[in-house]
Amino acid sequence: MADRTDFYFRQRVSEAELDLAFELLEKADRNLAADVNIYGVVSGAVPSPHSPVADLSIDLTAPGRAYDNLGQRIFFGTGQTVNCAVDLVGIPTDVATAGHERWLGVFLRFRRQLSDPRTDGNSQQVYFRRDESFELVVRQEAEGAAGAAPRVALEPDELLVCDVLRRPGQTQIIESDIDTVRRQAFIFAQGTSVGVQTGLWSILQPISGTVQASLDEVDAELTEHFGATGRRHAATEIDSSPRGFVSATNVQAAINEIVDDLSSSTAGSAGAIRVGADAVAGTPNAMAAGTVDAQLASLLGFLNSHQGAVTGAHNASAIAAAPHGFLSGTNVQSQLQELLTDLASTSAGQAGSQRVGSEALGGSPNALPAGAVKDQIAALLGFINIHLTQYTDAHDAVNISVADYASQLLSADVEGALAETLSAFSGGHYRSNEPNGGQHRTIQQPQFTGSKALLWDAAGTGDTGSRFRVYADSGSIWFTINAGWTGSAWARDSTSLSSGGFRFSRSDFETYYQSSGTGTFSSFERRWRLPMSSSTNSAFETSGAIQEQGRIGLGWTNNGSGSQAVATAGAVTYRNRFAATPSSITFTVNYFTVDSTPPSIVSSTRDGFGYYGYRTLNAGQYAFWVATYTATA
Amino acid sequence: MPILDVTNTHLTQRCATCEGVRELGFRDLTPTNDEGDVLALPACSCGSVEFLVGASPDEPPHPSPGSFGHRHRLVVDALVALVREATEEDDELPIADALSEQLGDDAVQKWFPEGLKLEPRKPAPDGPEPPADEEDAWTQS
Repeated sequence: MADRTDFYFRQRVSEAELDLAFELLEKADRNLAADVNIYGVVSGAVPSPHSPVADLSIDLTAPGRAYDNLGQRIFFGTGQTVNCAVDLVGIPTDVATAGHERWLGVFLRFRRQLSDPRTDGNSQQVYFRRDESFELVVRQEAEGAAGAAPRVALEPDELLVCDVLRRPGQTQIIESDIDTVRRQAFIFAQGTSVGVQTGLWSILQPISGTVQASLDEVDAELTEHFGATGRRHAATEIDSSPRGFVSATNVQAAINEIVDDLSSSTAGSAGAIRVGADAVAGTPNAMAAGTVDAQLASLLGFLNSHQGAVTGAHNASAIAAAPHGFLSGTNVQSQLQELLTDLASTSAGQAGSQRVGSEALGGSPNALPAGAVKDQIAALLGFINIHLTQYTDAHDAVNISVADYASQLLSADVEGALAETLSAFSGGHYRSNEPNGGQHRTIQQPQFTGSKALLWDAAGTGDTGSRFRVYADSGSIWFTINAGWTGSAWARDSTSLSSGGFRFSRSDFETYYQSSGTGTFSSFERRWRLPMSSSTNSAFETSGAIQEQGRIGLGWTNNGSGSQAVATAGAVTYRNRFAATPSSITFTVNYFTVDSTPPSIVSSTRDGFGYYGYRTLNAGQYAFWVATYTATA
Repeated sequence: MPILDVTNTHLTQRCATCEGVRELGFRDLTPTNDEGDVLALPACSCGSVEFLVGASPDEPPHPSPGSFGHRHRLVVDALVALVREATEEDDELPIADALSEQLGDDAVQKWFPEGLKLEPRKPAPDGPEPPADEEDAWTQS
C-alpha cells in the first residue's frame, strides 16, 4: 500500500496536500509495478501493415497495455495507426539512396492527457483532470547500406514496440518490414524468482530449483534432443503407421523396410518401382508420370535409340567443344566450319597450309625439315626455282628421258638422243667442232618410193611460182619450177603462172614448158630434147607447139648477054629438129630487088626445107630476096 | 598461125607475122609444085606468104596426137589431097564436108569432135610482155 496522509477535522486542505495524497497513491502504484518488475508491453500493440490498404503506416492492436521503467501504466483501448512516413519532429523517413535502407523505431511512452480547464484563485488556467494516456513516437536512424543500416537506439523512458524498415521508393510497409525482435515486451516474473520442486524429476536435473534453471535444463535437454547430441530416441521407440509398401509400425522397422524395399533389385519388386516420379516434359522425348523404374526404362530406351542412331543423333551445334589451337568455336558445328574455312583460307599468313603439319622428309640433295605444309611448299618452290634458273649442270642429259612419241629415235634419254642426232647429222654435215662446221658432206639419199622420187624441194624466195623441185625416176632426173608430181601427173603450184624445167638422163637432155592454167597435166606441152644417145644427136628435137623463126635469102645474077630466067635454090636447117614436119611455113619478105615473089618450098622435113626460085633478069642484072621464115608444127 | 577453122564456105587463117585473120576460099589454095604437096595462100596484107606443107609419104606418125600441130597436120594433108583432086567444078566445094570426108569419120570424131576448129589458146606471159616482134602468139591448146 501507499504512504498516506491523514486529513483531520476542520483541516483546511491545501492544493499541495490534496496533490500529495494523489502523488503518494501514484507512487505506491508505480512502486508495486516496479517491485513486481512489471516492465514492457503487457498485451496488445502488436504491429501489422496498415489495412485495408497498406501504406507507410502500421496498425497496432488494442487494447494495448504497457508499463514503462518508472512503472507508469500505458494504455490505449482502440487500435492505433502509426504514420511511419515522418518521424516525431516531422522529418521524412524516406530513403534517398538506392541500395540503402533506414530503420525506424516505433516507441510507446506515457504521458498525461490534460482536460477540464479551470481558473484558479490566481486567475490562472489549470487543468483539473490529468488522466493517464500514451503517445506513440516514431524515431529514425540514419540510412545505410542495405543489410547494414543501424537500428534506432532504445530510449530509457520509452518502450520499443517494433522496428520498421524503410526502403528506397517504398510506398507500403509490408509484414517483412516490421521487426519485433527488439520489442520490449513484459516479462511477468523472472524465472529465477519462481521456485520448483525437482525431487521427483527423473530427467531434468536443473542446477537450481528455480523455474529459470528448470527451463534452462529443459532447453538444454531439448537442445540435445533436437540436435541429436543427447536424449535421442531409438527409432524402434518411434511409432509409425503402415503406409504404402511399408507395413512396419515403428520408425526403425519402417526405415529398414524402406531401405530393403528401395534397395531391392529383384525383378518386379525393385526399389525403383517404389519411387514415384512426376511427368517430365521435354522435346523430343518426354516422360509420363510414374515410377523411377518406368522412367529409367524409358530413359534407357531413349538412350539406346539415340546411341544406336546412325544419322541425326545430334546437331553438331549442340555438341560442345572446347576451343583449341586455332579453333575458337565452342561447339562441333562451329569448329568444323571454322576448321574448313581456316584450312581453305588463302589469306597471307593465315593460309590453310600454315595449319597443316608435316614431318621431316629426307632426301638428297634437298630435304625438308618438319614444319607446316606451307613452309615445306615454300622450301620446295625455292628448290624448284633454283633448279629452273640453273643454267648449267641442272641435270645430266643421260638422266633426262625422251618420250619419242614420233618414234624417231633409238635412244631413251637426251644424252643418247643427242649422240644419235649428231651421229645422223655428222653423217651428212660437218659438226660445229670440225672445220667447215654446219656445211654438208656428201648428200646421200636412200631409195624413195613412188614413180618419181622428190629429192629436193625448195621454196626459194617464197614466191609460189618459183618453187623448185628435183625428182628422180627410173631413168631421169627432173628439175621443175612451179610443177610438182602428184604421183600420176604434174600440178602447178600457181595456176596463174606457167611451169618449166629440164630433165636429163643417161641418154638425153630435155627442157620443157607448160602454159598456165588449172588442172594437172601428164606431159609438158612444149619440149626440147637433145638425144645424146641417138645417132643423130647434134640438135634439140622439139615437140609440142613449137614455132621457129629464121632467115632465108636468095640471090640471082644474069651473067649472060641477054635477058634470061635465072634460078637459084637453097635449104634451111632449123635450129632444132621439129617433132614432125611443120605443116605451115610463112615467109615474110625483109628485102628484095626486082621481084618479091617468094621461092617454092620443097622437101620439107622436120629438119628444114629446101627452096628454089626464078627471076627473069637482064644481062648483068642481079636480084636479091631476103625474108624471115616462120615454121610451125 | 595458119588455119584456125574450116567451114563449108571458107577457111579462117591467121597470119604468123602480123596475126591478121582472114577468110580464104578453097580456090585460094594454090599448089606450088608438081607434087602439089605445098599449097600457097594469098599474100597477107603485111606481105607475108604462108605455105601449107603436106606431110611426105614417109612422114612418121605425129609424136603428139591430138595436139594442135597434129590436128593442123591432118587438116593440111586433107587440103593438099582435096586440091590435088579438085576439078574446075569444085569452086563451090563445101570445104568442111569435103575435109571431113577426106579425114574419115573416125578421125573427125576422135580429133575434131566439135568440128573443124583449131583455134589455139594464147599462153599467159610469165613476166613482162616481150617486144611485139618477139612475142610468141601461137601455142598449142
